[in-house]
Parts: sequence; C-alpha cells; structure tokens
Amino acid sequence: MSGLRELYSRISAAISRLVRLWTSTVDHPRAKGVVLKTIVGTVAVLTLVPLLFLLWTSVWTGYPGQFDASFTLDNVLSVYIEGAYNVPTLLSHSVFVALGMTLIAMSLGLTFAWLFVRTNLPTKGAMELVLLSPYAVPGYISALMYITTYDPNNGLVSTFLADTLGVGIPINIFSPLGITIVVGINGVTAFYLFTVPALQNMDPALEEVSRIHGANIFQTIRSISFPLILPAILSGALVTFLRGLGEFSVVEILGVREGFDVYATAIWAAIQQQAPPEYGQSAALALSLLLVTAVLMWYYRRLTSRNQDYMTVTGRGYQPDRWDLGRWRWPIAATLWVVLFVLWILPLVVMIAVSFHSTWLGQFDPASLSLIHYADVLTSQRLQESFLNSGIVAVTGATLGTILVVGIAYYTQRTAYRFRSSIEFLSLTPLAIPGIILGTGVLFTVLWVGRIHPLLNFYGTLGVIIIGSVIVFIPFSSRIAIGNIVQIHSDLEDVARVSGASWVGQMREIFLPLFKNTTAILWFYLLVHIVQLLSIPIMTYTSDTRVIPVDIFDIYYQQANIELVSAVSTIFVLLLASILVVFRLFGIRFYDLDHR
Amino acid sequence: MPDDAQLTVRNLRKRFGDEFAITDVDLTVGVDESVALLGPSGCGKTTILRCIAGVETPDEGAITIDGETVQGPNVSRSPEDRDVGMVYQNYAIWPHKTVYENVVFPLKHGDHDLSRAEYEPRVDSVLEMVEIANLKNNPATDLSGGQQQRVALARSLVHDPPLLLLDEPLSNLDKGLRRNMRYELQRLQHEIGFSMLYVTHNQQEAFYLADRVIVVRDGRVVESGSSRELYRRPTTAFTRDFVGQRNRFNGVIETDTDGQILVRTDLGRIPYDNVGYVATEAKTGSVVCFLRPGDISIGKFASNEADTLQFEGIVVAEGLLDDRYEIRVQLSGTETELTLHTRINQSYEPGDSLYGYVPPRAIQVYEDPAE
Repeated sequence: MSGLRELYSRISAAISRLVRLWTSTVDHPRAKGVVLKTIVGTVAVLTLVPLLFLLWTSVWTGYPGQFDASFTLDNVLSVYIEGAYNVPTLLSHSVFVALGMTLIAMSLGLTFAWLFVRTNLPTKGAMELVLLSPYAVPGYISALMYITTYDPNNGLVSTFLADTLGVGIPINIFSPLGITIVVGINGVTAFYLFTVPALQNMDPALEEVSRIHGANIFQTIRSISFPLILPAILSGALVTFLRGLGEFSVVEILGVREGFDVYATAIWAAIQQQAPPEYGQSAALALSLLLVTAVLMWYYRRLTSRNQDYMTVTGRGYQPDRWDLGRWRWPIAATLWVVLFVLWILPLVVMIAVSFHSTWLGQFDPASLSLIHYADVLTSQRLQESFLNSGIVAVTGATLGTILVVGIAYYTQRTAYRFRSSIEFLSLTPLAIPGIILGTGVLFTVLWVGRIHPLLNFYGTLGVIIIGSVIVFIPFSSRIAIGNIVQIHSDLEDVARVSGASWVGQMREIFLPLFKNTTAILWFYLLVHIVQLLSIPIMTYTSDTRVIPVDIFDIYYQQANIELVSAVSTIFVLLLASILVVFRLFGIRFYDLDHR
Repeated sequence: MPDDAQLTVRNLRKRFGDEFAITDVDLTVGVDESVALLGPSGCGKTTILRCIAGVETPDEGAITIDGETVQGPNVSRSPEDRDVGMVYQNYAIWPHKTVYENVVFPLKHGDHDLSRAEYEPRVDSVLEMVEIANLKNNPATDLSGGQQQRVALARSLVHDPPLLLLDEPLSNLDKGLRRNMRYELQRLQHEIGFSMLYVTHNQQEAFYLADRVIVVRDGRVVESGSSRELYRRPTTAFTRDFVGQRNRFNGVIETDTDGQILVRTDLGRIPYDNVGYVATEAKTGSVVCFLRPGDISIGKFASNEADTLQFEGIVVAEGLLDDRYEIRVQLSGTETELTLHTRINQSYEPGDSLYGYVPPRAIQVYEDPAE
C-alpha cells in the first residue's frame, strides 16, 4: 500500500517535471490562446464531424469515400417508405427496451440509494460493494453471465429447478422481456450513483422544519424530500433512457436467438453482416433515432440547467438523519441480499465456474473441471495481441481524453473567450448519439478522410478506436471536470497573475497542481470505461486492431464457445476489478467516478 | 496631484451583459496615500479593483500605475505586467504551498531587483513584519483566518509593489481580530510606506484607515474627499445615509410671510439660518434631514427653552447598545420614528411617552434624492 503511494507520488513527480519542461518551452504571451483554442477546436471537430459524415453518407449514392457520386434521397426513401427496414418495429423495440431499462434501474437504484443513505439498514456497506461491482463488469459480459446462469436449457438455475422441482424458469432471458430485464439490471449501478449525492446532500433541516411545522413523515416525504431529489431522479431516468435506446451488446447477444432487433443491432448488422455493407441505408436509418435522442437531449439540458436552481440542496456534505427501520431491519436486509445474490453474485460465480469446465452442461461437474480454456487464452496469440491493443487504446484514450476534457473545463469556466456555452453544449452532444451510431459516424469519417490523402488514411488503425472511444466519454468526463473546476476559487489563479506569474507559469504553479487529483480521477474514469467499450471498436476494428471486448463478443457470437468466452471474461473482469482496487488504494473512491 | 499620482483611473466603464457594472469611474491615489472605496455590496467597487489589477478587462477607460499606462485605448497589460500587490477578501492562499512558498511567489515571478540569494531573507523580514515568522514552514491549510490574512498581506508586499490593492481584507475576520488588523495595517503603511487602494463596505474601516474616501454607488463615484471632511459634511444624501448612523426624516422648504426660508418637519418649523448644514441649492420642494442619535436629549416634561425644537413621542423599542442606551421613539401623531442615545442608567418601557429636545444646529439638510 505504501509502495503504491510511493509509486503514485513518483509518477506524479515525473509528470510534473515533464509539464515543467514543456511549459518552459511554450511560455509565451499567446500560449494561453493557442493551447486552449487548439484543444477546444479538436473537441468541436470530434463531436461534429462524425455526424456530418453520417448525414452526408445517408444522402449519397456512393459508398463513404467515393467522391464521384451524387446526392440522392434513395436511401431515405427505401428505409422509410419502401420498407427496407421495419422502422416502426425497430422503434417500438428500442423504446420497449429503453422504457423497461429505465423502470428497472430507477426502482432498484432508488430503493437501494434511499435505504443505504437514509436508513439504519444493517450490512449496507457490504451490499453497496456488491451493487458497485458492475463497474468492473461490462454489459456484454453480464449478458454472458446470465446465459450461464439462467439460460432456459443450459443455465445452472434452470437445470437445478428442472431437476429438483420439475419446473422451468419463469422468465426466458432470450425473450424481449428477459433481454429488457438484463439491460435494466445493468443500469442499476449508474442510477444508484446518480441519486446518492442528491440524497446525501439534502440539508436535514429542510425536513426537520417540515416536521416541526406539523407535517407527518409521509407528508414530509411527499412535499419536501421527493421534490428536492426529483431533478436528480429525472435526469438519471433520462440518461438511462438514452442509454437504453442505444443499447447494442446485450440485445444482440441475447436477442439473436429469437431474432429480436433494435435500432442499434439493425444498424450494426447492415454494415457488419452484409456484403456489400449497406452504408447509405444504415446512415439513413440512424437519422430517425438521432432525431428522437436529440429531443430527449434538449429536455435533459433544460432539466440539468434548472438543476442549478436546486443548488441549495447540494454542496456541503450533511450527515442526514437516519431513519430507524425498527424490527424490519433484518427482514429487509435479508430480502435485499436475496436480490443481490440472484442478480449479481450468482451469475458472476456461475460464469467463473463455467470457465473451469471443459464442457458446460448446465451443472457443476467435477469430472469436467479443467484449466484448458485458460491455457487457450494464455497461449492464443490473437488474444495476446487483443490484450495489448486494449491496453494501448485505454491508456492513450484516457490520456488524450483527460487533456481534452481539462481543456474544455478551463475554457468554459475560466476564460472570457467566445463560444463558451456552445462548447459546453458540444461537449454534451455525444450523450445523444448512441454508441453504435457514433461508431458508424467515426467509421464513415475515416473512410471519407482516408480518400483525401494517403497520409490521412487512419482506417484500420488503433487511432480510430481511440478517438471514437474518447468522444463517447467526453460528456460525462467533462461534467466531472467542470464540477470540480468550480470548486477551485479563481482568485487563487488571479492572485498568481497579479503576483507576476505568466499564464503558463500560473497554470504550472497553481492550477495544475490544485487540479491534480481531478485529473487523476478523470484519467482513471476514462481508462476503466474505454477499456470496456464495445460499440466503437465493433464498428471500426479490422483484423489488426481487435480489442478484448470485440474478442469476447466474437467468441460467443461466432463460435458459441461459452466456456472459452467465460475464461476470457473472467480474466478481463479480474483485470478491471484489480484496476479499481488499485485506484481505491490511491484514494479514489467510486463516488469520484460518479457523473452528474 | 495627478503628477505624483501612483494610480490614475479615467472614465472606466465595464458592462456585464446588458448592465453596466461600473460607469465613468475616475479616481487617483497619490504616493503613500491611503484611499478607500466605500459602498454597499454589489456597487461595483470590487470590479473597479479587479480592472486595476488586470484580472478583469474594462470596456473603456485608462489606467496608469506608477506613471505607466497599463490600460488604455490600445493597451491592456496582463496582470503580471502591472506590478501591484493584491489582498483578496478570501485571502486566496494557495492550499498546496507552505507559508514560505506562498510568500516567495511574487519574488520568483515578478519584477524586482533582488537576486535569488536574497529571496529568503526578504521573505523572512516580511513575515517578521506581519508577525508570523514562526509559521514560515507551515502548510497554508493549517492557518487560522487571521494568520491567512497576514500571509496574504506578506505576499502582496514582498516584492515592494508601488501600489497595494485590498479587497475587503478584514470582512472575513471576527470583530476583535478585525480591530487588531486595522491597527496593524495602519502601522505597516506607516512603517513601510506604500500607496493603497482599499475596497470596503464597512465605514469604520474606511474612515479609520484612509486619508481619502471615495463613495461608490451603482457603479458610479458619488463623491470623494478627505476622511474628516466627508464624515462631517458629505455633499449627498446617499453618503450621509451611508456614513455614520443618522436619523433620516423628511422636510419641505417653505417661505414664510417675512420672506424667511424654513424647513417644515415633524419636529416643527426650522429657519434655514438655524440648521447646522445645508447641502442643497433648492428654495422650494422636499428635502431630507439628518440628525445624530446623540444630539437628541430627553425628559419627562415639555421644555420652554426658546431655541430648542421639541417633540412628544412614544417608545417603540429600547435596549443597551455598546455603552449606550438606545431608544426608538415614534413622534406622536406622525409616522416618523427617531433613534436616540442616552446615558446607560436611564430606563424606559415600550409604550412610555417622553419628550425629546433637539438643537437646530444638529440638523443637516440635503436635497431629496427621490426628486
């Protein structure tokens, strides 16, 4: 532990030496404008250009990069009028998944948040750890975990129920409802993290004064507590709904059996499962979903900007009154443990167990125990390359993303330059672009740009995956950065300038050292999220640029090798978990990774 | 004066959105002079200070510091090229640096003649001056409010700037500490000698510390003058209201049959010739009158002294205040209430009636700002 801290301080010392060296070479009166405007310009290009190329491709007769073609409305017409895609069905499926996800994530997330923060529920610390563990489990792996556990034919629980009670499992995870439930469970952790701060930061005096002036507990909850956290609930619900609309991996992995398609899977299939790929039609199809998400995004903006009016409930950390659950304490705790066990603990345990079976037949089989799949993983050159690629993408992406996001935050909060609010808006736009569609836009962009000049041809490089992944996480990471920058009083920087330091000197001596912790948080946040991301790589990878999420998806999707994919997933989850543990040792808590 | 001015500000204007934060502000600070910008909160005085320091850019106007134009039609020097010292209301002590590192910062980055070897002795002597030499190696986060305030002061003085800007430097301190720091600042200015521009909403600080006071309201300079003169006889009703604790009541100017000009108030009719100070040219219309609480005396009976105004009133509130007894009286048959101070051994109850006596000389008459 002390070794880690030493390592951390060594690393940060080395970085500050680098920064010092670099800043001394760029110390020039115009450095501020050049540095900040470059960063912000990059962000503007990254967030806008993929959309432009998506739009262009949707109204172009040729494929992306084919300049000798012309504008057309054929793609739009064939998708929406001639019925090349069943748009109403896709839309209703996407909305069904999104709505179900929001309801499940909200009811579970809010219940857990309220019980953990505001009551004296026993063992809540351990429960919270379980609830937060999905941070290390990407959605596609949780889909695989559910297959190993609740597959109606081969899942551990199904076989167990059939053998002992002679009944089937009540919900088929491959049905639309089952898929939606799995997607929803994946949204619980994020929703929980969304509402906890609102519950924690509520001034207990606001509730006390209501009780003192005659309202009973339930009237107080209804007219005081609930309205105060309503903005947090609404924005959490909206973000969850947006995620649900764009959900790809779980739907594709579970839905392929019964041919259940949503927008994201249809777009992906049009490009990756068709030869030749239906570029124009997939782009045209994406446009209608973007219209829906843009409207939701506009509403989200309105909601979060009004959130500022509720700032009185945030800020200081209060120790809110804890409600005594009385004799219901233990029964409630036991119920919650059952829920946690069924939804999170058991599936993970079963997946790990499956990875140790040479063949999985739905139950533990000592005769079948084997390390063969781990041996396969460790000796597979392809997987080794993928692990390396994933590492490169995550580290480079996290570094690039951190620089961009700190730049955005500084530009919008600390300067008087023009377009500040436009930049803040742009930094949020990727929130409205489902991952698969953004991946499509990035793919089209590299195809187009690559034809301009061979030097600009990035197709088939890790760079494409890195840039696409960074764009995906700009919205949330920039929120973290902006939320933290306003905690540093700008007087601290002003007084350095008044005391004779240049802008670069001030940045080096005051701002960057004070912002060091936030920078580390941002970097870790981006690292953990980028390395798990499937949507961007699945749209842009080539045989040389496979990353682990793509491999996990492919091993299951192409080979249906549940034992091997369980082994890869187990290793991957273990890696992610150990990264998170390391952060924890460095003093970064899960709550710091919270986004608002 | 402008020739040996350390700071000159001309026609300063700054707009935030559609609203003017400051309009046509002119001011000067002479060599070794101490000037206070006094005004209610939100009046734009901090914006003026920030424009002078260069952390805010004015829309118009010229600023000259120590003979060099730092802000003008074609010039806008960055803060680091203005060579001033500044103390912030919240002290702005860098939390990641020690006291020494905080204070040595302007030497490392600013303009001065010291060699690197002289930094430490210089910081030591400044820390000694502000009496925190023992805290030199403490982390800045360990300090109390008063100690932070001293660090901020040391940091702003260490490079010997020609001009020191202070933004409400004492307002975050508690009462006793505030009084001590007031002495301290005056002692330092006397010992070292520097020009200082001091922003405050606290009139005690302004009049205690400053040679000259500039009153600001709604982003404009209302008036300025030497502390003593301004305190005794300001020229506007706004300043009179803001400076010193006075009773304010309305009056109307009338001319009686003899051609004598009178002020009619709820205290009675007062000939213009008899009042203490008249700051209006008006010969008709309404005016506002001011009266110190200490200039009203009270008794149980009507007086028959010729030159004294008297009124009958009912006590509405009373209590001990510092080492006086304060009574709030409503004048019988009127809406007017007056506050008066008397000896501590007096005692009244709300509802008691009493007589008040006021010498006309104690009354000051101003133009009615509402007109």
